[in-house]
Amino acid sequence: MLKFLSLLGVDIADYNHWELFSQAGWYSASAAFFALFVGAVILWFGYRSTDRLKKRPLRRLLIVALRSAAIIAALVVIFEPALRLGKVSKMSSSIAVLIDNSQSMALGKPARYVRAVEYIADHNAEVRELAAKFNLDFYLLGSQISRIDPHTLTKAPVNAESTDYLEAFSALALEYPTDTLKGALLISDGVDNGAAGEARREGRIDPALIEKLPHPLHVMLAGETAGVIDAAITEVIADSYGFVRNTFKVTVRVDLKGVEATSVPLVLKRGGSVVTSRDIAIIPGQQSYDVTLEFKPDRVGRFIFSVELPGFAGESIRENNRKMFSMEVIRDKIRVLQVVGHPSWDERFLRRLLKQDPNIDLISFFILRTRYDDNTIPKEELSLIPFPDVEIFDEKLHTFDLLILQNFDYRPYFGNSRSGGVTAGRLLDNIRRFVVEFGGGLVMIGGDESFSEGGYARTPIEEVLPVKLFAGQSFGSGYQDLTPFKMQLTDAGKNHPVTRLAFNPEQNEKKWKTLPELYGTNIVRGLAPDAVVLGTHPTLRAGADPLPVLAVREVGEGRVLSLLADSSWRWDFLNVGEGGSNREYINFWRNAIRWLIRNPETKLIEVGTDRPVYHLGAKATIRAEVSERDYRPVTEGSLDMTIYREGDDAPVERVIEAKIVEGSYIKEFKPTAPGYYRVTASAKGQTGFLGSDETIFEVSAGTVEFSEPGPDVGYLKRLAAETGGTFNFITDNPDMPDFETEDRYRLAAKMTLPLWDNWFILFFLVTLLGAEWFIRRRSGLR
Amino acid sequence: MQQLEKTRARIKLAGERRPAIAWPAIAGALAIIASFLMWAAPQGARAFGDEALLTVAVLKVPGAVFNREQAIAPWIYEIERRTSIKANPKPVFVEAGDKTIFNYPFILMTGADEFPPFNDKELQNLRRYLKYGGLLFADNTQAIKDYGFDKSFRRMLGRLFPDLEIKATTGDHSLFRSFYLLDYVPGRVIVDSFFEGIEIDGRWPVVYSKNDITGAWARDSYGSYLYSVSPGGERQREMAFRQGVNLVLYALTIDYKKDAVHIPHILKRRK
Repeated sequence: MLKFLSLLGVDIADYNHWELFSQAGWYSASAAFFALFVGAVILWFGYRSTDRLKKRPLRRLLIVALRSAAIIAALVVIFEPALRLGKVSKMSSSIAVLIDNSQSMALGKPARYVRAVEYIADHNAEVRELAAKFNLDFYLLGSQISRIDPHTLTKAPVNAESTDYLEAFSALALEYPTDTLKGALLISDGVDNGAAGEARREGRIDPALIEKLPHPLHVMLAGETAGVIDAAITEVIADSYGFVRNTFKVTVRVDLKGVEATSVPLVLKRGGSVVTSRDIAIIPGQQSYDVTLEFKPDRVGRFIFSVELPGFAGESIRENNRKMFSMEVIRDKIRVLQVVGHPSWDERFLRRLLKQDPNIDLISFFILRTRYDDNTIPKEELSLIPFPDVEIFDEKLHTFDLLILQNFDYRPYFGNSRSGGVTAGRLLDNIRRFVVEFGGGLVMIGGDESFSEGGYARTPIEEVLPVKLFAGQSFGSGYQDLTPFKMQLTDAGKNHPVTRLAFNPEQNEKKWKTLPELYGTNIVRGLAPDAVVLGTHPTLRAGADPLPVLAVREVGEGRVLSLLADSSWRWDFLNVGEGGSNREYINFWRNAIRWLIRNPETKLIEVGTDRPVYHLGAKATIRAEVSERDYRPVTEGSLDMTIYREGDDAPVERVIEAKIVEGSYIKEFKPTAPGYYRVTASAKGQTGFLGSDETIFEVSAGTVEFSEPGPDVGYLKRLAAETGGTFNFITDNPDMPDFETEDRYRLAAKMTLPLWDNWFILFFLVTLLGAEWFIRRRSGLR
Repeated sequence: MQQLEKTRARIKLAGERRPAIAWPAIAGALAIIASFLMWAAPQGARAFGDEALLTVAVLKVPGAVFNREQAIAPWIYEIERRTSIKANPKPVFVEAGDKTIFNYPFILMTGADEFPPFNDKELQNLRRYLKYGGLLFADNTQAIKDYGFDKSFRRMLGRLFPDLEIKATTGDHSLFRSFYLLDYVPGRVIVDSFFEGIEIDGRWPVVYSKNDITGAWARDSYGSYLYSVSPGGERQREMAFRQGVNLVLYALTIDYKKDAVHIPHILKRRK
């Protein structure tokens, strides 16, 4: 064909191959068959139509031949045939030799990597033979692959921080895009701790890795299989947060190699104290164990835990016997205790709100009957229970996060004949300690039995309240004012998270102005020194200042809110009646609860780092955000910061009275040793001490390679079997594997020559049809 | 001043009891006065103004006369006497379409006869009131099913909450345990032993009785009960007052008595 083309004048010097194909986009073999069939049918009928020329066979043959030629020409136009000319060249095939140079290959005596290099050197003749048949390429394999001259293998560093087969074989596939790789030889210890490592630990091959593996992959295990002793914690699987007083599960993946024991203790510690432990019963032949430890965190906060295995004599690495993890212990539900002096709409709407909040676990106690009410009905006919004052306030109070005293006068109940000798003073002091020492939240809601009227003046409760009370019993409305009023937001109230109904302070104030009036307020003597007033009475005063209606205070570890009215329910129901919604009421109380329980969003100082884990040598950026008590950024204040390394007694760095700029302080810190670091910071603003916060971060030395020293024989065997390769122990000094040779060709320098797209075909077609017509008519046919 | 009015109202109520049997009445009155004094003296002010008191709002029914005005004072008196609730002895009258109903989260509706339907605006306001926290207690004083008030009230509920079905209370409903432990709905008569109503998010904003509970409470100006109670007589009347207390406690505490802390006690007493 090429010669024929050269005769036609086509320059074929660059081509040694041709092929015929159709340029018609719709072309298919079935369409071609159908067209030929149709052509054959037309010809048959055409032939039959010339029956009258039986006696003139030559003429009949000529007509049929013309018709056939015309049909062929038509088919040529329809099927758009073309010639593709090309140059085919023989391709050379390649073999890749991958030698693992990750840190774990430095283990053993001699080191695994040294064994691998010695093997290559010892089999020099076979290597040369292989190089004669193939392009033989050498690579170092770690988290990636890098090509290496085999003569420099002995000088290559054995320091790759991880072994990632998926990444490595993906990169290898890109190196040989034209499918010239005839196979590969992998010399490794099999500890793939990269993206496919999870599947390896589960005893399988990651499907993504299977796709990337060369065929065949011959594998040699570079590592000792006998005599290795290692107890390793390879992985800790735990949520980053848990719920206080709820069971928390930590799954620890443990690898035990060559450990001569019947059981091995696994211990979970927090700050050096054992939290829980479990013995791992060793099953002969089993290397990996998933051990689940369970415990119930007893405190809210962020903690560092460690899981530890004991060290064994002759262990290759001890670093992998311990692993740390951090965890934030949070509340599962906010436990709220609501104690109400008598049922009222204020109680009812607040209870409904609390009950409907799925994050709140509410325990309510309402005084439905006092000793002054009719007590003649037998208790069997009543659903009432005695108010368990001692049980609540002497035994269970610490299990709550928030206590709401709603129009509750403690005097008839605390320290009475049923209190078993527990005095009122003790119960009141328990409430104070609940706030100050245990960080509980306290709300006192007004009413005719609350604040001064509730007899709280000069009690431990007054010590923690944001307001100062009048002492002595009041009759009539001495410490109350019953006129309706609209609470006015103070400047602090415009920004404070408790009263923030809208993000913009002006819109916030506007929203508060639209809320219905409150009916009546308790009257108090004044404010506690460090209290923050969020809302005031428009006309009444406490001394020289407007009478506080809504005030908050931080006392010790806890927070307290006083609302000196018992009609906040009107912000709900009345507002709905006036065409508004109950969102403001709901948001106000939800804000208040969040603030009272020290929801992280409402902390005055918050410390954090830009990353949870840093590599050794990198700088950690520690940032503190500080707000004044009214939640405006601190403009004049200072901050103390201390950085500790887990396990060290002395701090590694301390900052004293650093200036806070526009509510922020940023510290850059370069750790010098791996481990966990704890940062504590406390701040002072214009109103004094604002609180403290802490955070932790991890500095990694990149020892993922040592978390599991290997070797993993099973994994390497699976890889070889998957690709049709062989598996050998390098210690057996096997021969170099064989790779099949196969001639492969490549088509290049293509040219397309259309056979239909020319005037000749059209002319030929018209001429044939014209000649056929002419001869047919001359023969007396129609 | 308000306190004085309240006390006067109570003294008047006590003093108006049956003059025909003077001694028991006087003794009763003295006992009540004494109990008021005991209760009032150490507690000072009884509430944070009138607005903090439980005030029963009576829903005006178009074209109908409120026929149980004489039941309110005895009912409130019993609530105050038996519970820690602070209540206003005087009812207020509200209209369904008026936004002032939102001042009173508990409204009472009674009637014997059919009543004309509420208009759309009234229904809309009432629907909003009930949905957002209000409670309507309706008492059929005629105590006849499928006739008169019953017919109109069901029609009204159908228009108020077309998507919700009218349900019957079960024995463990908070209406039967919010203060007293009760087994049935006691009234002037007993047509049904259960309440009917509408439930929204676990709360019953509409509670409907066909037993004329308010009839069992009603007294004339001399303190005599206006209607005899059958079939249970005075014990049934006592139970009707207990139900009245439970109704108010339910309005104020909803499902409080279903909190876990109460359940063992209630189950034990129910045995």
